Amino acid sequence: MYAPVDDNTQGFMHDHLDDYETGDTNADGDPVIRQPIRIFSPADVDKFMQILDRNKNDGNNFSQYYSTLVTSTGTYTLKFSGAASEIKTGFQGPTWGGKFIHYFAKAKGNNDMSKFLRFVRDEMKITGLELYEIKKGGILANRVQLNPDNENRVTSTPCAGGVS
Amino acid sequence: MKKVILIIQILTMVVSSNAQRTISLDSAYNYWRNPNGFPDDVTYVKDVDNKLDRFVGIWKGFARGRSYELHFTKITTVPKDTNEIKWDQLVGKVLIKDSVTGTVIYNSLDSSGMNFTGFTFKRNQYNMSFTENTECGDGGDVFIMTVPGNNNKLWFYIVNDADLLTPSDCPGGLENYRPLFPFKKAIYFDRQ
Repeated sequence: MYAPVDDNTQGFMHDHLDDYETGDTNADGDPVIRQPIRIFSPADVDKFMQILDRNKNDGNNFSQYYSTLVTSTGTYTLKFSGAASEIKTGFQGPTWGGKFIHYFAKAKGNNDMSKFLRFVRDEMKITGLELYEIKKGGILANRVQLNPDNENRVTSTPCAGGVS
Repeated sequence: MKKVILIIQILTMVVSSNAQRTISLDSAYNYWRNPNGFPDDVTYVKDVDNKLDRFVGIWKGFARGRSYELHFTKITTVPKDTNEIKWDQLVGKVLIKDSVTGTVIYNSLDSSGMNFTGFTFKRNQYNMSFTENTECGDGGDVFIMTVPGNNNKLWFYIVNDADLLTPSDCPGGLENYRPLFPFKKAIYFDRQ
């Protein structure tokens, strides 16, 4: 899919697939199964940053902009609470895609959210990005942050009234 | 004798509690795309059975009017910090030519980066990632294995990874772009 960004774009939503059979078998006759990464990629983050970048001269109120990702493990939303000076783009392309795959494969961490948050902070060096999660079947969103005592884990703080 | 066994058991527990655990490439399959990730004590994903050795070398194959030459090597990547896991990996490069004219379509053999990096085994099937021209929707998950009964023949299969595309970033335009490998098609290579 592709999602063009213009001056009227406030946000967008897409999904990442569950593990799925490709429909083909390998040389042993076993089905080939794809396992997509179920959290935002650098390209997803870049897309969100592009929306912010288009609107950064409208004053420092970025709360209306969002990007949402639906997966089988939960629905995630990105928001931005930083200043215009913290908006960064340029994370499309194979270099960042490759870095992300390697990081995700090899970083420790007992969930995708902690790996994602560390990747954004330590590799992409982006500040001001906020991650929210709505668990499957839930209504209210939780703000997800790295656990300061163990960054392989996250803390979830309920947001009153959902994500605004 | 019982005291000796007890002391050995206690010592083993003490050592294990500080243990840095090594697991096989097969075991890693269960963790690497699991949202719960790797256990904290896993520090090395190792090719304990040398299953990667069968892929090392040069392989040639043809598909849809193109000739392919794969160069695979085995490496151990060392983590930069304690948050990463040491990993025995197969990595690789490729030379792609038009099989009629011999024109080079793509050549990463002399570049420093590796297009192919591998991760885990699911039985005899090894899974890798191929990264190139992602702004044109290229690249994806690669699956390889040697053909049963013929260690000199390689089965190769790539599935598109395209998630978000930015057509305006694709050089020459997305509509004119042809992926380097045909997606979802078995390609057979011969060992050189």
